[in-house]
Amino acid sequence: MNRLAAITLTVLFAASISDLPAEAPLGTWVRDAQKRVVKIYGAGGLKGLEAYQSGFLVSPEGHIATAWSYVLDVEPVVLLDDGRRFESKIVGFEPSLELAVLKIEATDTPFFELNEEPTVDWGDPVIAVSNLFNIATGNEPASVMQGTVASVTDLNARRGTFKTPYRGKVLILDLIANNPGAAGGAVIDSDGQLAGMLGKELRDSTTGVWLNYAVPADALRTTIGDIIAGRKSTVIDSATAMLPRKDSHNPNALGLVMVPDVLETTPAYIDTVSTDSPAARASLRPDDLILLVNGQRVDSQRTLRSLLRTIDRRDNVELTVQRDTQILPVTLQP
Amino acid sequence: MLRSFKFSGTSLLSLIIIVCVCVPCAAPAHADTEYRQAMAKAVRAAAKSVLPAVVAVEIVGTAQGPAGEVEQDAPTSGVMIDTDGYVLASSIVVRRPAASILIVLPDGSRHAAKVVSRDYHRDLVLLKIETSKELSAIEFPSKLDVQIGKTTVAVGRFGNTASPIISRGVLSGVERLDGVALQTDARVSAAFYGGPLIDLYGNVMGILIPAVAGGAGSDPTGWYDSGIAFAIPSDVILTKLERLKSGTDIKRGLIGIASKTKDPYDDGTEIAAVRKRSPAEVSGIKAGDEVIEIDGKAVRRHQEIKQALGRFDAGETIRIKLRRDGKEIDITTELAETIPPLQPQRLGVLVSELDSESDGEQDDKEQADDDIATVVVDSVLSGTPAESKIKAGDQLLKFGDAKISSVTALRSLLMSAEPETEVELSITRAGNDETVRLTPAMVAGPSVMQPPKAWSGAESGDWATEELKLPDSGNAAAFVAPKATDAQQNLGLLLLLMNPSGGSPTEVLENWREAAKAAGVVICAVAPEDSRRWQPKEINAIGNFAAAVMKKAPINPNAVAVAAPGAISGTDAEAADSMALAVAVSQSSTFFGVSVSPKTRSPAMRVKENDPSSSLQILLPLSSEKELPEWSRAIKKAGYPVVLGGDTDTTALLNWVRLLQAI
Repeated sequence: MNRLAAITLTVLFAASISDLPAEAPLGTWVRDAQKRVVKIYGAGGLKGLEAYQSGFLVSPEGHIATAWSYVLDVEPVVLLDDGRRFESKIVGFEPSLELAVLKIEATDTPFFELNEEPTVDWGDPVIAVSNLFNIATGNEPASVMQGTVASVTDLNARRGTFKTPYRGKVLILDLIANNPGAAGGAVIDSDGQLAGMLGKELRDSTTGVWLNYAVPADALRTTIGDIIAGRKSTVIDSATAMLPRKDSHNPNALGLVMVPDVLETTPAYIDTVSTDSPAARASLRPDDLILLVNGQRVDSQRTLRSLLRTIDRRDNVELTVQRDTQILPVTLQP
Repeated sequence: MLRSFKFSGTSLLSLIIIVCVCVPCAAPAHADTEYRQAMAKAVRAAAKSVLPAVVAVEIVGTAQGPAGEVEQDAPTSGVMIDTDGYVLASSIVVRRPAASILIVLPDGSRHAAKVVSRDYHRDLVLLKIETSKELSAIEFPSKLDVQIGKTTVAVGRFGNTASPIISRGVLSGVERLDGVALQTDARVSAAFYGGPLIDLYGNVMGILIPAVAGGAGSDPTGWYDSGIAFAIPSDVILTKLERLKSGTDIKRGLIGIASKTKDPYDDGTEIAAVRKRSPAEVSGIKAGDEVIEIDGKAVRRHQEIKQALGRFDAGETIRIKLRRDGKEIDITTELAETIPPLQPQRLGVLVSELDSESDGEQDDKEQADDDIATVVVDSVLSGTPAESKIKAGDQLLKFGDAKISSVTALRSLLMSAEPETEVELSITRAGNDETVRLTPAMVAGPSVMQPPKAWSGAESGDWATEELKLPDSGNAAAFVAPKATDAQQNLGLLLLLMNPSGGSPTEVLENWREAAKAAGVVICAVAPEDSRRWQPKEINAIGNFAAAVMKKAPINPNAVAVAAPGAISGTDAEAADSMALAVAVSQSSTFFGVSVSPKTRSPAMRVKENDPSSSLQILLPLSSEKELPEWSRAIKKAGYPVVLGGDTDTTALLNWVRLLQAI
């Protein structure tokens, strides 16, 4: 079957040499993409930070999507591809997507359509268009970089030193997008369609390394549409908030007595299980190691406590524990 | 059956050829897009052929925080090597003790893994899970096509959904890291470690490991995403799997020979000394032998010997071809996992090499004898074994059976000598051949040597302080040295690392100038680039400063040390002390001594074995062994002598620096 795929690929490719495909030549669609990308200048929240970034037009009436950042601390100035300069207004933002929408008083602006379905998968080639390092000024077209989508995955919700409010699907890029000014730039697939928006500089909280990533266009679509239409955003903040202590779970109330928490990252081993507790009813045992709480990784007792704080005390808690070499799913019923 | 799929080589090849042919003539502009899409499909097809066997490896509950940028418990990748549950991953998963190692299969299920064995030589670890699930295995080809420039794809799993992640590059090099690894420019980030590096046909070329080359610091993840990444080749892995499955760890093989030349890139392969109780000694290799071939591979320099030996494990037997007294001999030797640590010795002499009678007629001696220098004693230090046995002007010919063919060779012989054992020195004194019997002294222990009279009496002229700026380095630095360069020979050099916010180098040197002049030690003070801390990336810069100052004054290359203010009794340990220790150990071919406070916080570094031909000693301002810090144990175990300086002031420190040239 795979062999067949390989042959089909060759045939398809050979065929396309003679038959022109539907999409426009590279030169045209890259230039088209550049015309939809804008440069954004703001104050910069702190001294020494770059006060510029990128954005792209999403409506014919001058709506611009960009990354929500300190650059937007004041009403930013927007430079279009043709060099025209506009004062802009922030018409809405959604912190959980790290998205802001600006509006300039321009009409008939070229713009990107936002697709409902994802247009790229891992391995696909992409082009990123952005104002990286503010190298293009005035009417100079934005910079174009090539790369591929390395992975399509979810940003991990683990709480760490480096966190972003965004918790949804991301495109990890095999492309050096992690540079000043690139945030808010457009990622285009090889059909010239918008694939996503370049994110801000970010360290992955699980591995600790810098990420080159973009928020996919389909994840932005509804929110951008709502903001343009003046509706309240429908996105629920997925970074679950801490509940008041009296309303949330905690290890003791569930009957979990953990081993003494002496290290910065003491593993979540159960020391004893209180009798007649949810933990006892679920047959948890001393020395069980708690690995996951409601699907989220528990790297230490500290994480365990803070994850339990986000769960209503009336709700069930789904645990994954390790007993010797066995991995067991366990449901604690309050 | 995963490998039942095999990319049709010819069809893919023809595809690439078509692309190559049509892009340069570039008639239809869309061909560029088509090429990218075709490449994407080919990459994805190749990756999909291995992905069922690629797993994510999660670490739960590590005890310590991060040492570098990459988290200690970063999720990485691994490959299933068979359907019994064996998983090969990179050593990063066992870098720190963890409560649990979990394998996340492509279906998202998690399984606890136990460590079966480790290949310390190649940074791999074999794990095992127990599961009734059907598993897919990866196939390691026994023969690899390692054409430099061919397309490679790094494959791994990333994120809490263990999604596939790929990066495309080319094969950049082979036999890297002393002959063990392939090199690629694919952007290998932490998540890829343990994952496969494949070609466009889905053939597994190797397993990606975290590694940096020597001198680049001690964090093996330091080069992530840098256009340089390493993989252990599949054909080699294939030959190691049975051993690893049996639960046997693999370590690098050691032989125990020391180079005659200080610079391993110099021509010549003469062995200056053979380590005691090493495979070299057991198999009958002798000081003075020249290495011609290692396992069939011709070698011309010590660097090539190191490269040729690098691929072998402890326990492997190799053939070595040697030249001894003009005759070629073949030796087989079984490489060892460890060699008893060096216990460096000394005689207590200052020596130099006599210029051979160079001018005029060519001597008709054999070519091999051309590079034998005559080592002559310049002075004998009081209170040492040499006192009353050796005299200035003696020519040193043999140390036991071993020829003394250079100063470096004599030094190596003493570095690897047996402690408390009498040796016979063959010398020429006033034209007569004589033998002298004496027992060398340990370098470690209380500092007893005093500088020779010749040094203190010399007229050294004026010394001046000058600022020093190096390209590619933001460090402020200054050095104090004699104004006239012919005033005195064989000066010492001390690189004095300043503490953050320790003032300007020029000001600091004002307090050292008189002592420097009196002791005959050039001092170069270097401030950290950042006024708050020393950074690991500055390690190389310190070595560069030493090299730059050595060009400005007649410094003996063996009397070069690095120290921090804490080296002086009564001074607290600060950032510069840790930095000095890290600099000395990682730049051991430049520095022969390091002195710091005994309260120094040990820097995060891998302590490599002391090398007889570039031997480092450590001076601590202590009087008794009992006061030695915890970290000095690891240092001693690696064969570094710890010298007890007692109550150490500037003069004592500087005298020790200059006396590093004593043998």
